Amino acid sequence: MKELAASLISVLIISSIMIQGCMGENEDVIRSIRDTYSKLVKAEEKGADVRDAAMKLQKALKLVEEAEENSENREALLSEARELVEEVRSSIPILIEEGEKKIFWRNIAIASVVAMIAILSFLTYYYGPRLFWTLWLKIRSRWVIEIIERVRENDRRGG
Amino acid sequence: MIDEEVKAVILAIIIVAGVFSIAQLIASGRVVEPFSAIGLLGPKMKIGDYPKNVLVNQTINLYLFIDNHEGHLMYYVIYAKLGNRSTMINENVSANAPILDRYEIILPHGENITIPVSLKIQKPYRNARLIFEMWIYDPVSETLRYHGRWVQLWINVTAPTIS
Repeated sequence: MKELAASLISVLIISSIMIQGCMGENEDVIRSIRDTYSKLVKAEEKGADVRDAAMKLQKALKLVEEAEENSENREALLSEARELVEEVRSSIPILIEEGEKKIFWRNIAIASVVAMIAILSFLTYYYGPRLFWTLWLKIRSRWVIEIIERVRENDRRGG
Repeated sequence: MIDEEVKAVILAIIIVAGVFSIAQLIASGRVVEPFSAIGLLGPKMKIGDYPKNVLVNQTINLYLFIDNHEGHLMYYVIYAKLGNRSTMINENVSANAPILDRYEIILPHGENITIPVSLKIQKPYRNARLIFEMWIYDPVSETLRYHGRWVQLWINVTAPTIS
């Protein structure tokens, strides 16, 4: 009887340790996903396009969720999730570099537009009216003005 | 000869148009009013047909809609909780009720996702409140924080009758 109780207790202890281990593994992957997410947020602040990386992290989360439900493929699913997280983690420096380049060119574009607007404003202010009247005269240069009715001098004066 | 008044009008139009286009250029892509949204959809993935009466251990199939307009990448954690009439919840206080399940979602700005939810309640319950709370993972403090958004569904859970 004592032997049976002892073996039952040992089975319980071993299974609880195994369950704890499994849970711990899941938690480890979740922790690394959260850590990578934090790095991704910082990368996004530096202008990185994190859309694809976020999709991969979301997929990793889904795999962890599946691993919790599917104990048979748990190890394979968790390993796939880990690979995805590692892939995202290694891509972060490249994403930051691309983001910084994007911000640089965006600032250049803004500065160019501002400069262009200033130059165009100056040109329009000084040469716009002249150009307008030149064109106006050019368009109407062939017009023939015909006097239909000559108003009498007296009528014009209101007499 | 151009009138000075005409010149002033042209100058004013140029200034207004210039300021407007520069402001548009600088403000493009900025989120004026950031927000996150959570919605509960019925088993047909639509608003409606929500279950009102379920049996103990019957699977309740629903869908959760999450939308991110915060202006940056977000890490959402949705807690499904089982509350009742007296469960207190508002935008500052989360429900103090048992957690039924947890869903974790990473969503870029401007994206939304609809996820399936399958829950079971293991004991009879009258006027049960199925609460879905939105929490977010804060990358600065590295903790989960209640985001003040929640949705709920009132249901009655009855024990199956033995004939």
